[in-house]
Amino acid sequence: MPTAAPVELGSLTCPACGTVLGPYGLDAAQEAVCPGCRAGLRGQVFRAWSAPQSDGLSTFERAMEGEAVCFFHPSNRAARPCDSCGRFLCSICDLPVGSRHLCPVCLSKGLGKEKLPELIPRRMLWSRTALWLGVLPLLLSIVIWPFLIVSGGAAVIIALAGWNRPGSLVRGRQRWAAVVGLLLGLLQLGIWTGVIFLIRYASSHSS
Amino acid sequence: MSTAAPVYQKVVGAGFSWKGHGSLWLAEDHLLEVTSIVVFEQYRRFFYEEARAFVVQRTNVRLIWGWLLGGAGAAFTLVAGICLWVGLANGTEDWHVALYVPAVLFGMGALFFLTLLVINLSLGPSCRCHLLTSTGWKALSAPTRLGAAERAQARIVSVIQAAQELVPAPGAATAP
Repeated sequence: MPTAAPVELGSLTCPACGTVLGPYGLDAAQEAVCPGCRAGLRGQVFRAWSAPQSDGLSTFERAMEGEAVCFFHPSNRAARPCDSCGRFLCSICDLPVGSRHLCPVCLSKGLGKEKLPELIPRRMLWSRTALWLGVLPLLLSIVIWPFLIVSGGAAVIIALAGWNRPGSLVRGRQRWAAVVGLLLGLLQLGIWTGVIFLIRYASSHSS
Repeated sequence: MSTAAPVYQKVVGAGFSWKGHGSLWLAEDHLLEVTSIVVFEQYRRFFYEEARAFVVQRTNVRLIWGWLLGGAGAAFTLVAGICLWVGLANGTEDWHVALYVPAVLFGMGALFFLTLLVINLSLGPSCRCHLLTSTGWKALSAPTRLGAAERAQARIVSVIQAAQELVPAPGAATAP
């Protein structure tokens, strides 16, 4: 069986300009200078750099009599179970997601409905949206007071609608922001109602 | 399907760029880069097993910002000083008071820029962190200052090295 060729450390390139660094190009303790762009570099190379690389082709073996087989390919020997549903998988159906191994069905389910935290690429933060809608219009309320009914209503609706929606992956739901946004939204509605009341009151008494 | 969310620990240091506010978080098996723009968060994951190198590159961003903020501060100070000087020199005229208003406004602007300049200088040299994966170098959005980057590097490197203990050593790859 052929082994992967070892990678020379000298083929490590500068992240800024792409110039090949020298054989001793990186040092965690001392700053090195890129020969191409003269950028100061300090770093560390890990074991994975010199580890044999996979050729990208999955290998599988035919199952013998009495052996566990893949759920999706009954003729293939099972390599491992799916970490989510437990189905046996051959090396073709084994889809690594970080340290987890999933079957194609679980991966597609996780992609579709954001069930797998490892696959979420972006999120809108509803609580922070409510907070911004609560704070910003108040700061500009002298200029845009007629629109406070819109921004205040939106802040209240978004704070309530996003109460149970998933929040930041790292900071959680931040419900305090939704509460502040909700209160400030109600304040905006109160201001708008008060101003309308004052205008009507003033116009009725002036006539 | 398991929906248990990973537990994240924040890595020291943050970064600001046109992409937004960046931060790094450590999970059990991956490094998460979070880029926030107002109400949106974008995520990039770098699994420890696939990390090949971590590099901190010194940049001249602090120098550029220093010149920009210092220049703006100096220009505002100059205009405020001229307004003040002309106003004081014509103290007998009726209009001299009108010059104190722009003097105060430009003075506040100068104070603003000079405060930012002091903050920029006190944060230390600027840098950019890069992580090498199987698909090439990835520039990280944080940390962007050298002091924080060195502390972050020490932590990230130790975590990645611990995770790669099972990866064959360099010599093992070529051993017969």
